[in-house]
Amino acid sequence: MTHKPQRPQPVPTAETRPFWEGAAEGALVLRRCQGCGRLAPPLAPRCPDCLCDTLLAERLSGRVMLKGRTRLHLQPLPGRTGPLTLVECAVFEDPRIVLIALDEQGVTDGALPDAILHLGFSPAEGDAHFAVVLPPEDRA
Amino acid sequence: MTVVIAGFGSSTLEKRSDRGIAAFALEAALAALADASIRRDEIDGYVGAPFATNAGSPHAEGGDEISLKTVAGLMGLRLTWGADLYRRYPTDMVASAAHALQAGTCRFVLGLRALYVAPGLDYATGTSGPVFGADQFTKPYGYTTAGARFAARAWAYMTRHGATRDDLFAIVDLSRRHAALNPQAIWRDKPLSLEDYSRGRMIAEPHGLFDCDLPICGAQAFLMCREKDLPQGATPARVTGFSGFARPEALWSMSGRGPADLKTAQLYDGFSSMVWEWLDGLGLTEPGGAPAFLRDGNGEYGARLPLNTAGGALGEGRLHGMGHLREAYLQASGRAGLRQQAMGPALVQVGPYDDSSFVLLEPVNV
Ligand SMILES: [Zn+2]
Repeated sequence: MTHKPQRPQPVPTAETRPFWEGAAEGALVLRRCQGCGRLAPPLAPRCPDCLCDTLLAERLSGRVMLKGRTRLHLQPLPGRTGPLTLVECAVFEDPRIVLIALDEQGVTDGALPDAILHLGFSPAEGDAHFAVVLPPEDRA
Repeated sequence: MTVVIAGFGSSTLEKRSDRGIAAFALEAALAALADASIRRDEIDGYVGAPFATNAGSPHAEGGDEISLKTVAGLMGLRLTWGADLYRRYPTDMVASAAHALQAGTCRFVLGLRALYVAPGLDYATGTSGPVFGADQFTKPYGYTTAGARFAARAWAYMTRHGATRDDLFAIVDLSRRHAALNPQAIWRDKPLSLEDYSRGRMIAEPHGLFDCDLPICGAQAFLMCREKDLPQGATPARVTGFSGFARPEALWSMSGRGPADLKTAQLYDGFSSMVWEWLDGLGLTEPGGAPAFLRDGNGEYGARLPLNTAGGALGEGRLHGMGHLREAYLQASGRAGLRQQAMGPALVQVGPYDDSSFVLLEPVNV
């Protein structure tokens, strides 16, 4: 049996498990504070604003805004050749939350900051489904 | 109670070395002691910030990091107080040493930061296997590789404000030219033409090879004390202000100074575009105005705000801000030699856009 190198595999905790479970279903899932209504970043144990600890998982639109972008010419991930396009995505419902995704289909080529994008999730690599920028035709 | 930096020391800076990190650390520490005219046995305080930031670092004590325990053991220090500041910067080391001195906990604080390039590692790229905590949202995308996050931010800045790679080159060019007057700078004899710069391979767009500082083996160390304890023969620079990035105004309120008072600025430049952050962020330039400010020559020797006057990390080598602090000390104490600019408030900023700290050093009027 050969060991196939794969992308780093997330080790979820109670806080981040809803995100990765949502990812496995192709959906962007964050948790919303039941005290004040703000969305919590994936790692947060409590709401950063009101410190309430009742956070309920919620499926979001997947709409994001392009915050930053780079084409990485080194090869940090196995199984990929050529430059890798990394994008910083500000969640539309709360742009303070920024998620990293790959753009493997050139969707953001020529895009400007704050362009509206749609976040989806890749087929499983290892056990995890990772965030990707969806081309327009794949938007649900 | 006034606190000063009483001396500074540096090891040699080398791209690779057969010597270990401890050899560099002790070379810098002993140079700092000699520079401040202080004996080893007088040292009763220590502050460090040992952290190897490369994605592929093994974080091995005495390997590519060195902490208080190892330094104290190898130097025979008998400390009243000492601390390593986890994932902090030389600017935070100054603030912590000042607190310990002002509290009367100790008299002479040694501050030390050493860096090392361990052989046989892929330093730039890093990891596979399980990833924990914040890494689970970054490492599976290569986001911690080669300053990708700074590159992504530079793209947004350049796109919003119309800056170009020529503006990045202006920073690298200034660093190389200023490094020419720094005898220990890695790039001291290596001016870089725009053609050379353009030929450098892309790393993470818009950053090419020469927009990235060079990892090196080296260490630098400072000695701090209360002004009234200054040893005979030492040349002081007064610590007049410090603050964290979230409250930069505290730097001005503590020091009674403002941006217009600055005579020199040492701004962290692990990647060239980082220099723009606090020119804009401290209000030295309008938002988006930093590239034009530099293009117009305001960062040159003798100009409005001489910048990274020893070459910064891009010219001297990657010392994670110790080189910036050392140069501010030399400028504020009038010891910068051929690089000496007008003496007065000397700003040091170390760290990234979302986690920096500042120190202001000033001449001691005698
Ligand atoms: Zn809340």
